[in-house]
Amino acid sequence: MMLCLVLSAAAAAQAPAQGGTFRYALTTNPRGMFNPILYTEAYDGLIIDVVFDGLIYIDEQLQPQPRLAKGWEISDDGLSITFYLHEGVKFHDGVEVTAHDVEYTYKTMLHPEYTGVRYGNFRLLVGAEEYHEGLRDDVPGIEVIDDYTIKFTTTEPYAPLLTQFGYGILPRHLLEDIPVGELERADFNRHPIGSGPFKFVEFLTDQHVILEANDDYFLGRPNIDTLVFQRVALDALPIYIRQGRVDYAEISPDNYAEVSGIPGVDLYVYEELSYNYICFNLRQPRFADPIVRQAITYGFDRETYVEILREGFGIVANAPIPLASWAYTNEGINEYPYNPELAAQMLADAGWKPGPDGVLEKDDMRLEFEFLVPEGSRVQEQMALLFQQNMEDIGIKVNLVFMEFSAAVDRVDAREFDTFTMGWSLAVDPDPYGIWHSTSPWNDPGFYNERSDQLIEMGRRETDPEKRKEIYAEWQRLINYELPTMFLSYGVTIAAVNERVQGIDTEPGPLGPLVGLEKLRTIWIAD
Amino acid sequence: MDKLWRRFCRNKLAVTGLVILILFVVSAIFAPLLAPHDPNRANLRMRNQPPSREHPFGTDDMGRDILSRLLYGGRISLSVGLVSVGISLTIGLVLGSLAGYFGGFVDTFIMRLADVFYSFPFLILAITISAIFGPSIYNTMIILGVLSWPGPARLLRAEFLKLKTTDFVAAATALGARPTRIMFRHILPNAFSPLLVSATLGVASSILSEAGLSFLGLGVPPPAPSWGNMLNRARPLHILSGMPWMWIPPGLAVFVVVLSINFVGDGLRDAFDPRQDQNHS
Amino acid sequence: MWRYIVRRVVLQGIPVLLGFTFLLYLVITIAPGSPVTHLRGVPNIDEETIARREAQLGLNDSFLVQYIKWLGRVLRGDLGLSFDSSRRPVAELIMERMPATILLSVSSIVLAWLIGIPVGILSARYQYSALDYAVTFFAFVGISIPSFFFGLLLLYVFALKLNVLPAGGFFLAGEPRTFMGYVQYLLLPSITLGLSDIAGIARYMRASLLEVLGHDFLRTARAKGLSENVVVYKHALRNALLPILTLMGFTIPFIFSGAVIVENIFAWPGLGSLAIQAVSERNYPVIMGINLMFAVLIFLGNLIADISYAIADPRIRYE
Repeated sequence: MMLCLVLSAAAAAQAPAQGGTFRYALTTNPRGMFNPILYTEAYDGLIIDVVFDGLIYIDEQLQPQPRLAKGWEISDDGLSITFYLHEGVKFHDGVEVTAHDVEYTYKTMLHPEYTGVRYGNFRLLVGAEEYHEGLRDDVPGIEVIDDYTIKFTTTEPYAPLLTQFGYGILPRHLLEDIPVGELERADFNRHPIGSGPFKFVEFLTDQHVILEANDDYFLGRPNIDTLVFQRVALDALPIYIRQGRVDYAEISPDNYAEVSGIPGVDLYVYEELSYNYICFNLRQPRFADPIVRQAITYGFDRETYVEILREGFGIVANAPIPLASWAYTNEGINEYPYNPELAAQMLADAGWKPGPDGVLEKDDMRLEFEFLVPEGSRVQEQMALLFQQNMEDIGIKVNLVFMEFSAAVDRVDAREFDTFTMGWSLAVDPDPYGIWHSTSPWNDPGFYNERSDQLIEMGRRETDPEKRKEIYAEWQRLINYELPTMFLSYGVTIAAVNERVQGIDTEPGPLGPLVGLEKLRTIWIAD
Repeated sequence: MDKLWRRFCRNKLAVTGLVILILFVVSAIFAPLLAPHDPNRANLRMRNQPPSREHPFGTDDMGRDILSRLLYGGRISLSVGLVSVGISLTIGLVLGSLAGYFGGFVDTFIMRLADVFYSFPFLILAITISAIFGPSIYNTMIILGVLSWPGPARLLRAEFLKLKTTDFVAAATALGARPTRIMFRHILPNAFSPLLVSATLGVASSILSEAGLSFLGLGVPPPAPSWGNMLNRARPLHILSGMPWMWIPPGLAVFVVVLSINFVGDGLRDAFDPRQDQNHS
Repeated sequence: MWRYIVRRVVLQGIPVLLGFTFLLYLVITIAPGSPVTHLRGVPNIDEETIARREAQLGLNDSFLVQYIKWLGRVLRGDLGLSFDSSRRPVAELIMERMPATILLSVSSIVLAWLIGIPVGILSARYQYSALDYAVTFFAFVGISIPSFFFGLLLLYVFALKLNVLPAGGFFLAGEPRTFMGYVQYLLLPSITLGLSDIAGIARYMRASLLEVLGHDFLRTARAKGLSENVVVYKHALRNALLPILTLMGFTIPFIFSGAVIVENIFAWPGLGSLAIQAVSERNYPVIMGINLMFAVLIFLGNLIADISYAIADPRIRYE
């Protein structure tokens, strides 16, 4: 026995074992749109991540690292990035990857007939808007310097730009003859060919996606032979994990107890870049006063929500930049600990008095309102009930309205709501412009604050990371005071990994133990 | 009437069904008195508790008493069943009468309309409409009621057709009797028995459908309890295997109620059918 | 006969299908929510992209125009493209899930008939015996128990507690697709789906056979001294089976419909999950495609039922 241990330890220290099949559990079906510039669903994104390479990839610190590009240079004025590509990288059909493929990929996203959703990320490239409108034929902001060098230039400094270059590079020679408007119908999307560590083999709807290792991958062949994304019903996941039928799965908190008891399976808990919230409609006079919003926040037991309803898997949130992000701060952030007496006091001091039925009133405003709860999350339904009860305790009447998600979004877009709850899944770069700028269509609360807009615009332009961090810190403090939405919790993910999988990141950052899917290149299966 | 009752009573299953049904209805009506706790009061410290003296059927994932929710859920499930059948009967009676009485184009049009509704893949359509207009107890009643009118309509129309050709009606018309009078005096009473049976079985079917819709999350929405949406909470396998008190009571409730209704309906059918006097036990 | 069929199809089938699809399209377009709702979750998405997408999907046309365009395509045999990001042809999406649903439905029907008919026959043969009462009671149970409750019970007992059958789903990637494997995955869902049919068929078989058994011509057979078994199995059965055959036309489409819930419980990769997903995403072409298909199946089912009834019973003739 001792000898075995010593021997296996020695073996583990040597070369990783070759071969084997890695099974990643999916609880939702991918669509079958395996095209890096046309996909929208996260599950399609998983397959794309291993079949294609981008110029960069994001590491566990959320920093961009070289991939197809072996390095890059940023110009002094901060407006240009020049990427230097590796030479000799081949697509799965043997054709070499060059800067022309990169140009094709990015130019297509700007094309007037482009049917995908990624245009907004690159509209600041020089000439992009005119090209998109059909007013010119070329994009000066994308410049191929030679076969392995390409330069991107923007019209104004845009800090998040570098992180956007992770999109998988498409093989121009296979796609350039297809009119851009018809690209989404191409068979290529269902049988993708990229340059990534795994080659696509098969996709059976609602069942699985099978991929095999790319022997000629420029960074070295992956250790495992076969990669399978296995569709598993959410409710059956713990059983599949127990039976060893899947090697990796993200599980929900209520399964934690059961799965942690399974021998041979390790659990990793990590914070992700997301948060959920309760949004107030600031266009209504009763919600216009920050004191009311703060009081309501004091009056809701978010700690119990996280500790009990989420079984402790979550972090009470007080600002819109999650803990996992480098821009997060908690200096000067008010935590609004649950304090119903304080909440009641604040409302009373602000002039709210109980009406004849006990509900708080002031002038001709009443604190009785609708709370829209989109369906689909049991935990959020429970949260809504808790919220209703807590509010009742301080004289506020909440009427729960459970709606189907699509219908709820309709109401939100039409601004026909009092309050609602949803969540945001965030990009790697902390720029909050898309959600929080007053001109943004997703400014659901109707928050108009000059200083907030100013800070957001400054943060976008500032290329010095330290200065950027300070700008965002100040912005978070502002939002934390104003509370246009009440922040509930930052997302926490639990990953269950079978012990036989070696080489993962055992202290996972926001991208998990597989660092997105980076680690799939280097993990191995120990038997 | 008396004879009907006697025939009905001979069927032991039907009588048992009736008794059980009455029990359920009574407990639904008197739910506020019978329920030991407030069915909507959440107590997070008492989540997922197995049955105890305090909570005879345990608590659910929000700490609410399951027995109380079962009783109040009965109110909702039974009322959805009754109201939706009421709606389908009303629509069906009106349209069926119009079709049967006027005949011709009106008849063809209404029957085509009935075919349209009848050819709907019921569950999928109910899901579609419910998902789109939002789940609510009222929408559920309306959807179930509106989708089921062809049954009673066809029945009533058949009655009309049967009697229209009799000399009896011809004589009455010749004597100058008004159409509505003919309808109410002669046709409806004859239609009563098949309609009653159809309505009874319709209630059973509605209760099953409501439970199914609520189970899928498209019927009665939380926090209001319905037997179907209580079963919905048991979907995750760890609750299914570890906390049977959460889903077995509501499932059994639906089953027993529907079973009883089917017994009663069957008994009624036999009671109205004179041929059964020889064959039945 | 053929004239009857043509008349049924033209005078009844076509208007019904038109009316149905019209109403359905109306309902889904006037309802709140839209196919582009989910796009708001894409980081840095701008309104212009969403507007373009809406135009591309034809959402800017009025309901009537949209419906007519859809109808035109359908008449040419094209069910359109899915509204989701894959933009796959609807026919393809349906076809790739059809086999699973058909497999489940057919298994349920086969089970229902394999069990229901013999049980019904025995029940009638030995009327008033303990077996008969048991069967009658069981038949009631079968049509009263909610299918999802029954499915959950089966899961609980066989998959979770006894661990002899899989807890739903289908073959894993790479798992060999043996016959026994199919049986394992199919068993619980088909029993669940077929239960009410087993019960229904058993009852109808019993009732039909009993009715025939009471007829005069059998009295003659008995008087001739033929044994009861011969009377029942040889003479009565033939007549009793005919009406049952017409049931087939009715049961098939309803099995397809009821499969939605069963597929949901057992995570069966069939049309049910596609239908539910399409509804919540407002994927109009897929919703219309699936519903149209079911409506056609139901219509065909009724037609076959009526025709087989006419064939079976020479007293009935349709002009």
